[in-house]
Amino acid sequence: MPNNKHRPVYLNLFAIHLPITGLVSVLHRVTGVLAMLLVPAALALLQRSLEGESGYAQARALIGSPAGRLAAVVTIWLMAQHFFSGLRHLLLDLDVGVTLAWARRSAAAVFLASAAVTLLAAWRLL
Amino acid sequence: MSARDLGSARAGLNGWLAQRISALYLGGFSLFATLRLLLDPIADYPGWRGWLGGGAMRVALAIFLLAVIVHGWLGLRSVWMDYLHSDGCRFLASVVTGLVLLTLALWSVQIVLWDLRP
Repeated sequence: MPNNKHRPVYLNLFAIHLPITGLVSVLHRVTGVLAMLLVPAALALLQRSLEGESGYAQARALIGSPAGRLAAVVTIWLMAQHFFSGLRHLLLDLDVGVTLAWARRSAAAVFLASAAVTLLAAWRLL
Repeated sequence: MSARDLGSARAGLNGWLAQRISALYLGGFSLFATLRLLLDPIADYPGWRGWLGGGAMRVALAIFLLAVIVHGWLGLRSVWMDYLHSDGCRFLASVVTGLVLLTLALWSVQIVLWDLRP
């Protein structure tokens, strides 16, 4: 098979079915990386809010603006998803819910819980 | 490459443990701060400054910011190790991540020591 090393590799991402447990796992990483990208903005906002009365008012106005509220809801989804999937990983470390059936149920629970928190935040903030 | 060149096994365990301990602290502190702010919302600057600047809370916030850096470093490191395949890419990503996180750590120190000074 002289040409075997050069065979075309084609992965149709739409044909690969990612199970719900895999989706939770991938999203834990995606939300984690996104959360780290938000750290500089969070530190800047925290520091501004501590720079006297005017800085505090500016920080509140920024979060209270329509764009700020939207950003807050997206951030809350991000952090809720990461929090609940992280909790699931910690339980799996303790051998809680390691059977396939329970791993699928807890993965679904992670999505339900983060969706509930996000909807609640959207209802209050938007 | 001999096994010795791969680093010690315990170094990996320490990282694994630090990732979980920082996770517990981050989750616990986030839950506490969220509930505190929801149950008794802060109205003005003196309230905000007083809450974060209060002795115990200032220490708790400092540990939280440190945990963000540690947890972020370990998490990003796993992602780079899984998705960057050449040693050069991994090295570059590690150096850049380290420098950025070091900057964020110094910035956090500044906030806790200077902005929250009594």
